[in-house]
Amino acid sequence: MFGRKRKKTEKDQLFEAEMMVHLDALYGAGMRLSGNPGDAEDLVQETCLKAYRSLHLYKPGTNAKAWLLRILTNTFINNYRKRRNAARVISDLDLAEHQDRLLQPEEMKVWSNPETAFFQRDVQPQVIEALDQLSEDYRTVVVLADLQEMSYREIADAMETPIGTVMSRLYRARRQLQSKLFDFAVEQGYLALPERGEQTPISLEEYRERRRSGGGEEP
Amino acid sequence: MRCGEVQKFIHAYVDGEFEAREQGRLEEHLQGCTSCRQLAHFEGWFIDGLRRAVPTPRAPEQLRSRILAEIQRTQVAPGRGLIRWQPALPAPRLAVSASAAAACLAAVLWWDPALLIQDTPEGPMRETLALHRSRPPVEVRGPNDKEIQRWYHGKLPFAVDVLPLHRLGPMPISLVGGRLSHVREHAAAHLIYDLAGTPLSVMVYQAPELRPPRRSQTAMIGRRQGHIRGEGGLNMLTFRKGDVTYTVTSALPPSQIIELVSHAVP
Repeated sequence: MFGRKRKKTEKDQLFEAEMMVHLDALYGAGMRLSGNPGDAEDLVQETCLKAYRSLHLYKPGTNAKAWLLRILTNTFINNYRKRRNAARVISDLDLAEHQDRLLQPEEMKVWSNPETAFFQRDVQPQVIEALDQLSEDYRTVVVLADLQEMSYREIADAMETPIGTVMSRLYRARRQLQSKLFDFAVEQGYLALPERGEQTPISLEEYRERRRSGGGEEP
Repeated sequence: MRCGEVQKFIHAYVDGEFEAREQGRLEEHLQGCTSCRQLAHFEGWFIDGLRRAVPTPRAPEQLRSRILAEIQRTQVAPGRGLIRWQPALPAPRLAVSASAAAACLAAVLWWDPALLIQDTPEGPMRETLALHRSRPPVEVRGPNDKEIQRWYHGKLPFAVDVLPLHRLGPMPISLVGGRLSHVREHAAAHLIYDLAGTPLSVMVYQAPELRPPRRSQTAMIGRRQGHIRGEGGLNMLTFRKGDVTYTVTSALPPSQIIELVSHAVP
């Protein structure tokens, strides 16, 4: 692996055994964070070189994957955020404003019904698109929590934010993904939403009558 | 637990972030509440589906060989590659004298800002302070320190010495209780005492590589050397027993904290 020029040291062996086995996970996270294979490869390479250099800070036997993802997230935030273009910022704000409608209980029920089998369909492109449209902070928490299964504490350390911030970002991010994917499911006709009955017309007279008879709500 | 609370923490619940006791309380609510149960089911379904819809791609094979080659190159030819590897730089260790370690750390930080991922000594202090201020509920009640000590047994990878601050010395202190906590990535015991209506806390965790933070002063607790640091009207006394770190946080003046702890730590 390390060619003939130099003998493999103990450090090299530790690195290969404990770190390089997580290359796929790192690449997967890099892909979702940066959004394209080229940037993902650069990000993973930089992460691995940093990890190698600071290997003395790693305690063997502890969670190597979380440690690597922490370096990767840190590198991503520091390097790539700087390059973010203005257009992206505007669309982020736009999304944050409008895209996290809370689904109605009935909608949740129908969507998660086994018969709908939403996630068994070929929805990967839509899920990835919805992820890519999240703002960077939101996407990062979802990638770390949902795809890499990191704990809130590990994510807080990786993003250098308090746990409370991780929780609120995760909450908003999942709401955004949910409303986006739900709309997609409706468009595709995957859901059999119950017909909404015609709304009862609002009667001011009736309301006043109720108030007079004392059964009305608070003024 | 009310529906509003359940809804607020539903993600923490489905993500398995709750401690056993909190989880029990939430599940108790779920048993009697159809709409919250449905919400929990939905959130679990969604996260699980999301995970399965985005499979982890395989890293390209040449990426692996490129990384290993890059490590080789920067190791063989220091100063020329993308990274200036300096093999002479020793790893910071506590065995080295504090100033040498500090100088070494300064060199590392100057050398590559990315290494800031390492804990600064202030990180755990800040977090300990925040936990002290948050006044979290206890999981095991005082005032019996031996009982609390037994409760911690087996829950943490080190032995917790519940300081009998309440049984010694002249101050009106009571032991409220303890809970499990975290300081950075270290599992910790958070002991809470009451000092005439104001909280005093002791955070216990194992972080052998930790150095004294900036702006701290050396303090002697019996024969032990510790350090004390003022922060936002509170004083934090940190010392070690073996490789376990104890930080006492209180509004007491430094001299009184030192005196109090000296009674309790032989």
